[in-house]
Amino acid sequence: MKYKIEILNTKSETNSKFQIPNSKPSPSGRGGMVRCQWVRVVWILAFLICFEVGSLRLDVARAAWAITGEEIIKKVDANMTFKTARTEAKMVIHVDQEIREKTMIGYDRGTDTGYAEFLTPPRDKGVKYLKIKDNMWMYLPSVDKIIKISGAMLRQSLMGSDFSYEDALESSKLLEKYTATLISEEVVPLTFREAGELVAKQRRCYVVDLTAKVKDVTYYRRVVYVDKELFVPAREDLYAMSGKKLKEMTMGDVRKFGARHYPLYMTMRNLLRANSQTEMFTTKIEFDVAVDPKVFTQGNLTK
Amino acid sequence: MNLQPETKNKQITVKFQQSNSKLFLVFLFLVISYFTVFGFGLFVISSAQALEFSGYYENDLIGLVKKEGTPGIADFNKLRIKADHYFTDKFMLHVEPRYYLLAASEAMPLASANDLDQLKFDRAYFKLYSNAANLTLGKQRIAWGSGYIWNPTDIFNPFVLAFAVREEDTTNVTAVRVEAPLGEAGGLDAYIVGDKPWEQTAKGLRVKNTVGLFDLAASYVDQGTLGHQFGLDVGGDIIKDVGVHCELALKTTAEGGAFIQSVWGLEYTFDNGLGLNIEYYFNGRGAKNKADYDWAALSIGTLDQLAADYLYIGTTAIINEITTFKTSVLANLNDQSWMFYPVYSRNIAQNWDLNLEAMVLGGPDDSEFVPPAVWDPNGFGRSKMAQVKLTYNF
Repeated sequence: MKYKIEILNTKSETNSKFQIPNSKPSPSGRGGMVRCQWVRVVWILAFLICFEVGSLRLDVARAAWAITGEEIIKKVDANMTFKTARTEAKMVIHVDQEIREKTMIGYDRGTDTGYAEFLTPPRDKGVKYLKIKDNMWMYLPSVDKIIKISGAMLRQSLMGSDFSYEDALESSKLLEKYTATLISEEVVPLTFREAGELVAKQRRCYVVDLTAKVKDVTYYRRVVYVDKELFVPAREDLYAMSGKKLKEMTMGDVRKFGARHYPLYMTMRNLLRANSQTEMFTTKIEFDVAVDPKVFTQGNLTK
Repeated sequence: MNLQPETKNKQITVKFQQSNSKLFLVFLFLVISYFTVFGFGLFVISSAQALEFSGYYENDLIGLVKKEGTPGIADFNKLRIKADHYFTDKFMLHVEPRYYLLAASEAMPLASANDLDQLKFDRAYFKLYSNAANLTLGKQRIAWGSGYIWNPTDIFNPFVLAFAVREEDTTNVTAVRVEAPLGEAGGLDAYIVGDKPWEQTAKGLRVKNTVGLFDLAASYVDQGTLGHQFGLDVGGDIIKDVGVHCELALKTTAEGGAFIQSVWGLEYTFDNGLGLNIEYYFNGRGAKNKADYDWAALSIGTLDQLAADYLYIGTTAIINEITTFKTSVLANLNDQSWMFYPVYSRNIAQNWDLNLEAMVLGGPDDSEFVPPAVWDPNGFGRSKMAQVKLTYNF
């Protein structure tokens, strides 16, 4: 996309140079005609040069991108998905100068099954969520009742954060709903933990455009910035069909677990709300641990 | 009696052995006592560590203007403690004592203003977990159905002003309840209410499962001498972002009659985050003409709603992550009376919540929300109430 914009800009500039002499002919008659012809020649040459250089750059880019957008997303999925995982996390919600903290534990199985339980603060203690494929339920201890989170509720805020229930549900199966196109490369900051300290590094990332190929998606377009070397997403911008940017997500604190790199820090900003941001700190994570299948049942919600 | 020395020795030996046995028994008793006391102490200490407390303190400042213009003020204090004690991983005790104190210049239409100025245990039950089923024994909340305001399949709380009343203040029952999972998202739920003789007590059974994007449940309740109830409730998505729910109950009466109650609901969230919740309720036991209202049944609690057709429209606007604004309108479609209940909520600090709430009742005379004077001695009909609620959660 960036490359295309460059070409368009070049055309635009040359067009304007070409039009200005024609629109205001030189008062000196023949001299003006000669100058005009020269300008045409210069313009044609410039156009050819631009075109050739552009083609050359395109070829270089294509050669450099010996990988497609789909392959990149598949590599990200391979890195970010697991058989099972157990996590402990802290959610920090910023609204203006106010800060709210929530802690939780979670279990995941594959890409479409998950369980989460809030431990603090007291008002949210014991609230549990269960996700099985496209269904999600919430257990409220005050009612002692399991409530299905239906389509309408999915867009709403998850426990007062910038995440929606749908963000939790739609984290997987991107390629089933989106067409992935590699559009450019950019340098994006990504944090790593070195000697106990978080260090931001400028990392070269693939920029992959995900455009919805089905109607039932919350975000019509997603632009994902994927670390070229580690295949970890560093940033994701989420757009509505109108083109309006709805949310911004960043990731960081990338650590190595065996052969996989995994980010333990995430931020989400809902741009429809002023001055709010949610940080998610994964304080503990264990991959491919034995998890009792009963954890992922509605029976477990009422325990 | 003269005894031979041998016999005497034997007796001494026997006595000695007897006294030894007694000493041994005393020693054994002391040892057992010691270990019992020590073990109990350890158990108490470890139990204390397993005891979990939470709860809240809420202060409501209330102002009311009654139908005839009489003003009233009140201060309502609510303290609720929720304690969970895990004897083992699979056996726990939950108790929920609460103490409510109301100081009011006038009678107030507060749904939770019962059993004031005394310690009450709203919930107190033992729960036993096993792989096959969970067993709950004691005073507990049993909430069935998919409706928001109306739950005709729930015989304990068929009608709750959910936008105005805390869930903790709804009716609890003393019962034995068994919940058995059937697969990942299915289950069987059965209860027997335990405070009446068998012939009179309620016995319920509910089976639920998930099919596609829908939760389906079928239920049956034997209400003893009060009749029977067959129920069905469904909740899910018909199309993207449009949630629907439906609850249907066919009820028979002790007199041999039958009627239907049903709820039809729809939820939608707009792109700007505004949530819309609409519910229509058909009450087969209600009257379409206000002249036929059974006010007596309503006053003694054998009837929950007077009319046949009701509509609820609720909106939720999330201003930011800690601030929401909700409006609720409950309308009686038969007599055109209504209730309007806006709520502004803000989580003002990590464990502090502030709610500004109001309730306005309106409609024609002798309607449900503007009742005849004889059925509204406190003059709540067409009244206006405002509340400032401050809650500390711990």
